[in-house]
Parts: sequence; structure tokens; C-alpha cells
Amino acid sequence: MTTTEEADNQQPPLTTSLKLLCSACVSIGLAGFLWLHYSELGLALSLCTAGLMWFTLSAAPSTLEQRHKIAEGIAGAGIAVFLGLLFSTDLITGLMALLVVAQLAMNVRADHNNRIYSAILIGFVCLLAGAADAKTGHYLLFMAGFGLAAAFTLKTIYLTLTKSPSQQNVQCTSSALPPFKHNAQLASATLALGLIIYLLMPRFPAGNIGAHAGGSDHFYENASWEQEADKPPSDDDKTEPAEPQNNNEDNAEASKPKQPIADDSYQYDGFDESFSVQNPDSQSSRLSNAIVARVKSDVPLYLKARVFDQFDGERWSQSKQQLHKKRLKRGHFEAELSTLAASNAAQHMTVDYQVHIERTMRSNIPFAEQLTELDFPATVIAHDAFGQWFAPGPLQAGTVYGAQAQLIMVDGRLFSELTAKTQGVTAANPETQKLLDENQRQAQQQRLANLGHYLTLPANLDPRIYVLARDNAKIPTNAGKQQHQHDQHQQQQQAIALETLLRTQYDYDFESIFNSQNYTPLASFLFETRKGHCEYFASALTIMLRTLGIPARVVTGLLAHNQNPLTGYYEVRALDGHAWVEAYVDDRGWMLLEPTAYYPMPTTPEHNSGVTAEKIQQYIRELERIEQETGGDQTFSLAGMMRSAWYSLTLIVTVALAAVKVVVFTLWWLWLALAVIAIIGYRLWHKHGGTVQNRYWLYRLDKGPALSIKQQLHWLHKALNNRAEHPEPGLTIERFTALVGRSYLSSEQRQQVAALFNQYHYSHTPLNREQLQQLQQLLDKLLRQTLSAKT
Amino acid sequence: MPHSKTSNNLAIPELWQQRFYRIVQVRFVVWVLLFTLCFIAWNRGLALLYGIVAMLLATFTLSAVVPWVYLARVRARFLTIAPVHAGNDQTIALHLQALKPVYGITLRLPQDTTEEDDQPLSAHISGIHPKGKAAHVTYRVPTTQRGHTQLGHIEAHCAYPFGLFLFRKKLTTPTAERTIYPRLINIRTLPTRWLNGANQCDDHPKQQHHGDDLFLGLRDYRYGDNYRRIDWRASARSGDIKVREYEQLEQPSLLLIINNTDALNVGDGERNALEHSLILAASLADYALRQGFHTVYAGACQGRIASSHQLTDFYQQLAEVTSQPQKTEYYQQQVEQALAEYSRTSIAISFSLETITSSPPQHQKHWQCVFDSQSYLKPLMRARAQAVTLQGNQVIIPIRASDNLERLFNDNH
Repeated sequence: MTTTEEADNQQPPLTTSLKLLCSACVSIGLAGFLWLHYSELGLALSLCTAGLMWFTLSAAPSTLEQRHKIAEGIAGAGIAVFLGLLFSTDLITGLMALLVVAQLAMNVRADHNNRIYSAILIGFVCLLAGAADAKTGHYLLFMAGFGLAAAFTLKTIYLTLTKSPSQQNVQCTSSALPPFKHNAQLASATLALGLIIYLLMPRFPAGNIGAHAGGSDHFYENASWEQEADKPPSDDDKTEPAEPQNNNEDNAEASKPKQPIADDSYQYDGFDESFSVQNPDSQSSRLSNAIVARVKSDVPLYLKARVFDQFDGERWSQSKQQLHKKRLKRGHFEAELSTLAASNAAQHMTVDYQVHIERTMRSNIPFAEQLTELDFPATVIAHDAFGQWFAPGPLQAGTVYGAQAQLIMVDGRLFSELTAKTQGVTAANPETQKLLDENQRQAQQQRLANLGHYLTLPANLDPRIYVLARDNAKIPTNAGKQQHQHDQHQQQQQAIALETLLRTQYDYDFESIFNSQNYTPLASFLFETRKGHCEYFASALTIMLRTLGIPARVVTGLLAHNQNPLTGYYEVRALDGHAWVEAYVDDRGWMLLEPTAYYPMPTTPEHNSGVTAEKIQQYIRELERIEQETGGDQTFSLAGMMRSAWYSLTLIVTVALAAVKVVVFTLWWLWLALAVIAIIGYRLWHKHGGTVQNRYWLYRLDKGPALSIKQQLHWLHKALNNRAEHPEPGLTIERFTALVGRSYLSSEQRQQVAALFNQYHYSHTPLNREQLQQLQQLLDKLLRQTLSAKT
Repeated sequence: MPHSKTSNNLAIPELWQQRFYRIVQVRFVVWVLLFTLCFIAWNRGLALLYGIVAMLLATFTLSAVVPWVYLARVRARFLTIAPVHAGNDQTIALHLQALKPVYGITLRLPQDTTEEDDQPLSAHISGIHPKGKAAHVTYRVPTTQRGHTQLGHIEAHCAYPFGLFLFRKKLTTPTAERTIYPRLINIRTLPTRWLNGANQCDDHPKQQHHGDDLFLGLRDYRYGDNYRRIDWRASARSGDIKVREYEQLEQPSLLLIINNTDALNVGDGERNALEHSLILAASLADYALRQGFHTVYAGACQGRIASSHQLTDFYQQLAEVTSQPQKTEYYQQQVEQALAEYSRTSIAISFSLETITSSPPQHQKHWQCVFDSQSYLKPLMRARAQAVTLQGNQVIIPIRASDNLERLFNDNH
């Protein structure tokens, strides 16, 4: 190909703005990806990429051969960079680098518009790769930036590079490009519209088609556990009661972190270790309510970590200490699916969720009951008699695991575990019936005896607690034929009544977290201070239930209840480390109870599919509530400002949405009626409006002052327009009167009008009074006739 | 040049390229991206992706609304279109106004304005500002066939701002007349053999004393005018070369009997017997005026040509001629009537598919242009050329579709 041919085939050179936008597309998309992995360094790298993009787009080697050689050089360097990153970091980073270098090579090699489109696509791919990993709402800024850059690139291509093939036969005098003001308006409009659409967008529960938990930074192995898991089960594996241990002695030595936990790590796991949520760096805030885990789920979840059954009056501990190891096949564990839900007339809901650990934790794996599947990055895991699950080591930040749970609801309450239902048998005669009832009672007692360790009470328990529990629980007053079913119902009612008591009569207080950590002054909480944190509430409810003979246990773990709608993750903060209660309802199972009013009730979980604006409001309100109650950071900050801005925006949108709902759904009949009236009115006006207007002017003509000649002509025009007669402009008075006055004036009168008007309007000689009056009379006659004529 | 060779060998066939670009258009790609993103955002619960989905939807919304608003703002008006002869480029100018700024509009002349095979002419206008200078677009439209049409609209396209959705609208404009005169062939000297015996036409026209003629006025010089007719004084005054026009009272004259019957309308496009007859009529009239002859025309249109204005009128009438559902006999009657009415004309020229039996006066020649209908109906068929025959006062000129009219009507010897 000769140079002339090349010149013919070349596209027009890129404008500066197009080069700039093209560079911005790639660099912003890449910045989003790199910022997540390398923060400031990533941003600097993306800036360098922008510079390289600019340079390669501006480079103009003279011949095609030169261009090809340079492009080949860049491509070779790209492969080297890819291989380097593949072995030093990960595949995705290497691929992103390869894409960007390929774009640089294309910039040099090709000179057609495809390189611009490929730049947009590559920036988009980088942005998506980042979005898959991003867990912060700030990423939306990169998305908005990229969206604007890509949109303006398309706009510039459309305006400057779109030429029709026949352009040489066409000349345009106007080639004004949009000014800066217009571009700014367009950018604002795009952003504002994008924001409104975003806020109005509904959120649906995730499909989770082919989804699996991946991307964990850690993999857990423990050779001794693996050996134990491979051993056949022996008698030693039987659950044996152990001596109640002090809280400071861990139940699993192997699970204790070997290295000291960093200052900012999350150490709350309930009862045997102190809170480490105090933030020494911040004077204004005592709490570092940092995010300790993120949970991707469609519904709020109670993630159970530990279960306690023994209480010595101050501290909780576990009575059994035996771990059962389970080997995982490719990190997957599948529990046997319980069929008890159907027999208990329970509703169940399958939930897939992923947990991203952000701060180092104990080895307990937080999970939602009832666990059906677990994908954990380990070769072996363990569980114990309380149903706790353990990883081979402490959970490190960056660990990701997925699980599936079957949430069981009976009578609108969450149950963590169901038990076999006793079949009611009716005997033929009273004596046999009596025997049957006796058998059932014995079976019930046997069941309760097996749960004896969930009924033990501390020796030094304050007797007032018995009274409080008895007085506030609904005591059975009658005994009838359906005694057994009644008992079961009664136990549940009693548990709920005591839960309600604690939720309504006692206050939540953060002070006790710091003052009475690892120590639960039950009597003081129930009868003196009447305020405390979740451990107090859970302990009080458990003990009160036990005084009524209802087996109960304290459960600690994480509560995923505040979803960040920007990222879709439930953010589990330090204060969401929580303790709650599970009570045994005979013939049903373990019911979940939430005695702490600070936390929402564990009712039937439902996916909130409202618009994004409502969800953002809810999220911000929750954050502000925590800040207010913990006396958090009240000073000015950028994050606070952004939060306020988001809140204001969402408020506007939700108010507008509510108004629209009211207007459309409530007042639809009014709009319908108005529309019908408007249509009828328009049709009537269209048909008779001219006549009505003419009548009105006739009335004004009769009642009002006399018109001048110009006014008369002006009115005449209006009257003709109302009669849908539109005389063409520029008519002479002769033709005008010939057209208009043909029905109302005789030919002599028409000539007279024309002559008088011409003299009045064009001649230097003014009309005398008589002539003026004559002209006015004639025009008046013409006007009246026109106004009074029917359309 | 190993690279260029390699690139040529590895080049993707054009057919596949066309198919690829037909599918891979920006708007389709963006739609696919949007649906993919929505699916991923929903399936994986990646709420952040809703951000980019919202940006894409905003882009789509603006792409759908802005062109609609912009096209509603534009007002267009055709400026007066100067007629041209077929074969020349015609200039069609458009005046554009907008009440508010408008950007990125493409204005395309209606499809019937240009030939079927040609790309429609379109002008891409970056912007029209209401306060700035009014925008003008000038199209140079190649013309191939005579005709008279009215332009009442123009096709406006807009895909501003992002080029994703192309909106089309017919912008109604005040009606503008567009006339294309018949193509002119350059007749320098009519074949002498045909003229033999025609009254004063057998020789080069004599320059008459202007005292005997009726002075009509001055007009601009045109190619082929006799230099003697240039009025140098008037030319000096006006700056343009002006020519005196006379009505020559005793000059030889032509009679053109225009045939617009349906029978003559055989053939497609330019290869049409009717079109050829009109081309000949226009060219002969032009020749006659340049040579100082009178021309009288009858048949489909009637009139007389003694000046350039009258010639222009004649062209205009020819441009407006449409075929009428009349029989061949009707034209024969017209020829007979014309020959009788204009018996003093030197040459009467008729156009038909068959020879017409006529009896012109002794001093008059009757040239019969006989078009071979088969050659027009079957353009690929090779027909034998037939010689011009002279039978008394009759000159029978057989014309085939493939004949070069210019060569046929010029004296090549």
C-alpha cells in the first residue's frame, strides 16, 4: 500500500477532546479496579495509563511499517507484563494489564474509530472486574465518572467523526460545536437522570444461578484434624459432660489464635474474652464500630457462632467439650435435610448467603440455622454437640465462605431446630386414654431430662427472679383433654411474654459493655439498673425461662440486619456482635428469641423489595441511630457530608414517589374525570369557541368605548380568525374588503371603504370628520356583521 | 513490505465484515451490555452494578428524548432552486432556523430527489444557534432525467447526543419547485443531406440585416452565439457580455411536433423514447435559436421560440410533459394539423414509433424521427442499424435506444 493510498484511507485525526476522553475511559475504568487492590498506588498507576493512552493516540509514525513495529513491541511488552503479574499477583490483574497494553498497541497500529470503541469496552471491563470485588459505595463515583467519559466519547464521535459518504457534494455554513456550557448541562442532566433512575430502581432477591462462594484469600488446613476425621468413630467420640470451665479456658486449644491479635481486629465473641472495640485513636468516639464481616444475602440473618448452657450466676460456659471432625470434599459440606418441617406445619425458606470476614475472629464459623450446605475454604471442619462449627484455625480477614440455610418459621417465629412431633393417639375408653396420656407425659419428662443441662440454674440465684418470671409469664389456669398441646402452646406463649417484658420494660445501654464485660450481674440488671447490653438481656431471659421449666440457652454470634443498598452487602459491625436466646418448645423445637429491644424482632424474614431510595434512607437512619446512641463522631467529615447528601436526595425521591403514589393510585378517579372533562371541553371549544369569543367581542363592542380604525381592523382580523377564516397576509384593502365584506357590504360600500382607507392610511391629506365617521361606520358595520355571523 | 502483504492475505472477506458491522453496532452492543449487567446484578446480588445500569439507562433515555426535542425545534425552507439541464449538477439550498440551539442533525434530501442507485445526499450539521448566523446547507444533486417536482419536505435524522438511537422525521417545508430541463445534445451542424431542399436551411444561415428584424432585447451571451450580435456598449456598461436578440422575420424556421402519447413512453429511465424525443426537441430548439431560426412547437405543448426567454419557457414546458393516455392516431392528427397550420416552416420534425403518412408542402421537409420500440423494450438485444431514408420531402430518421443522438444529428462529413 502506497503512502497516498494510506492517506486516502486514513480517518480524520482525532481531536484533542476525543483523545482526552478516550484516555479517561480506560484510566477511570482501570482506576476503579486498581483502587480496590492497591489504593493510592492504584490511582497513580491509572494516571500513568492515561498518560500512555494520550501518548499512543497522539503518536503519528509516518509509515504503516513503523506503526506495526511499534505496536508489536508494545504487545510483546504486554505479554511479559501479563506473565509477571500472573505469577506475582493473580490472573484477573494480569488480564487487566494485558487488555490495557493491547489497547495501547491498537492505538498505535490502527487509525480508525474501532480503537476508540475498544478503549470504551476495555475501560468497561476493568470497571466490571472491580465492581465484582468492591464492597464500598464509593465505587459508584468511578462508575459515574466512567459513564460520563464513555457517553461524551460517543457524543464526540457522533459529532466529529460521523460523515456520510456523499459529504463532498454537500456544503454547510454552520459547523458550530456545542459550547462548554451545553456540555456541562448535558453532563449534569446525564448524572441527575442516572441518579434518579438509580434511586427509583427496585431491588429483587438474587437469583444465585450457578453462584458459588469463591475468592477467599485464605485456605485452612490442619493435619491432626484430618487424621482424626479419617479415624473410624469410637466410644471416645461420645459426648461427655465436662467440668464447667472458666471462661478464659478455650474449648478448643487448636482454634486459639497463635499470634497476638492486632489492635484493630475484632475480638468480640461473647463471654470469655473481653471486648476490644475501644478505639484508642479517636477521642471523640469510644467505639470503633468497624465492619467485622460482610454478608451477601437477601434477608437479614442471625449468624450463630457459640452456644452456652451453664451459668454460675455471673458467667456462662459450656458443659460439653467434644469436637467431631468432618472432612470436606472440595470444601463442600452438605447436611442431611430434615424432614421435620412438614410434620410441624412449618414454613421454610431457603437462603443462600456468603460471608466475607473483614477482621480476624475466633475459629467459630458463624452460620445461619438451619445449615444445609457449607462451602468453606478448608480441608476439614469440626462441629460439637451444641451444633457449633469450627474452622481449623482463627478466621482471618479476607476469608470468604458460602452457605445455604433453611429458615424455619412456625407461627411467625424463627426456629433454629425442629424436633419430632408426638403423634396424638385417642383411646377407646377413659382408662386406656389415661394410660396413653401417662406414657406421653413420661416421654415428655424423658425428653426434658435429656435437656437437663439447659435447665440448670445457679445455686445463688436471686429468688426475686423466680417471682418476676412467674408473674410475667402466662401461668396455666386450666387443664383439659388437650393438655399436651396446651402445654406446648403455653411454653411458647410464656417465652414470648418474657421476651416482650424485656423488650418493653428494659433499656439498652452501651456503658455495660465496657463496665461489666465478662460478668453478668443478673439481679442488679433485672431489679436495679434495668438497663444493659445484649448479654444481660439474653442471660436474664434464659434464666427466667429455666425457672419456668423451659429449657433455654444463650447463643452468641453476628447479626446481619443492616444492608448497605449501595453494595448489597449486610454490614456486620462490631456492635452487631450479639447474644440472643434459644428456648425449647416441646414437640416443636428450639425457638429463637430476641429479648434486646435495640435489635429488630426475629420475625418472618421477608425480602424488602422497595426502591433503592427507601433502602438507602433505612440504612442511613440505622447508622445514625448507632452513632447517636454510642455518642459517636459528631464532628464534620466528608463521609458525614456525603451521607447527608444521599439522605437528602433519597428523601426528595421518596417524597416525590409517595406523592405520585397518592396522586396516581388514590386520586386516579379525579384525573380520569378531569381528562374526560378536558377532552369534552377541548372538543366543544374547538367547535364553538370562535363563536363564543365573537359574541364576547360583540358584547364589548356594544358596551365598551368606540374603537379607532386600526382597532376595528385588528378586531376584524381576530373575528375572522375565530371563524377559521385566515386571509393571507399582505392583502390590499380592496382585496380584503372584496373577500371579507362581500356578504355584508354592497359593491359601492366596498369601494368606498377602500378609497377612504387608502386616503386615511396612505395619503398625506387627512380625512375630514365626516369621511372619518363614514369609514368608521362602514368598518363598524362590517365588524358587527362578521362578529354576529355564525361560524 | 511483508506487513502489507500479510495483512492483505489475512484480510477478512468484505461480506463477513459487512455482516459483522451490521450486527455489532453501538446501540446493539450497549443493549446487550445493559441486559447482561442487569442479569449479573440480579443473579449475583451485585448491587453496585445497578449504578452502571442506571447510567446506561440515563444514557438511553437522553438518547431517546434529546433527538425528538431537537427535531421539533428545527425549521427548514428551501431557497429558490435554479433549473438545470439533465446531466448537470443542480444546487438545492436549504435555509435552517431553530428557536433554541440544536446539535448533531443530519438533513437528507428525499429519496425521490436523487437517483435510485445513488446514495442519498445528506448533510451533517454540528449545530444551529438561534442567535448566530442562520445555517445554510447546499446540496449539489447530480441530475440524469428531466422532470418537474415539488419539494415539500426534507428528511431530518438526529442521534444526538450519544449516537445510540437514530430518530427520523420529515420536516415539512414551504413548497419549492424543482425543474430539470431535458438533457441537451450539442448540435453544431445538421446533416446537410437531410436539409436538401429545405427553405434556406441547406446553407449556413445568413446573417440578416438587423434593420429588417424586430429588436427584442438584450440577453446574456451563451456558448454558440454569433460574435456579431454582441452589443459591446451594453456589455461595457453592465460588465457582462450582452447579446442583442432579434425576431428575424424572414428566417427559416423549425416546427417541432411534440409527442406525449403513451405509445411513445417505451423504455426505462433515460433510455426512453419519449425522453429521447424531448432531448431532441430541446436540442434542436437550442440549435435553431443559436442559428437565428424561428422555432414553432405544437402537439403536447404549443408556442413559439424567438428569444432565449421563450426557449426557457419551452424547456419548462418540456420538463413538465407527462405521457398521456392517447392513441397513436391522435398524434398523427396533431402532425397533420400542425403541418397544415405551420405550412411555411422549413422543417417539420415529428417523433413517433411508426412512420406517419403525411403530405408536406413542396418547400417543407418533414423529418420523421422513428424510434425503434424493440430496442427500447429490450435494451440488450442487438438490432441492425437502419439508414436514414429520404423519400421526397420526407426524411425518415430511424432511432434506436443505443444510438448516439449527438452523432446522428450532426453532420459528420
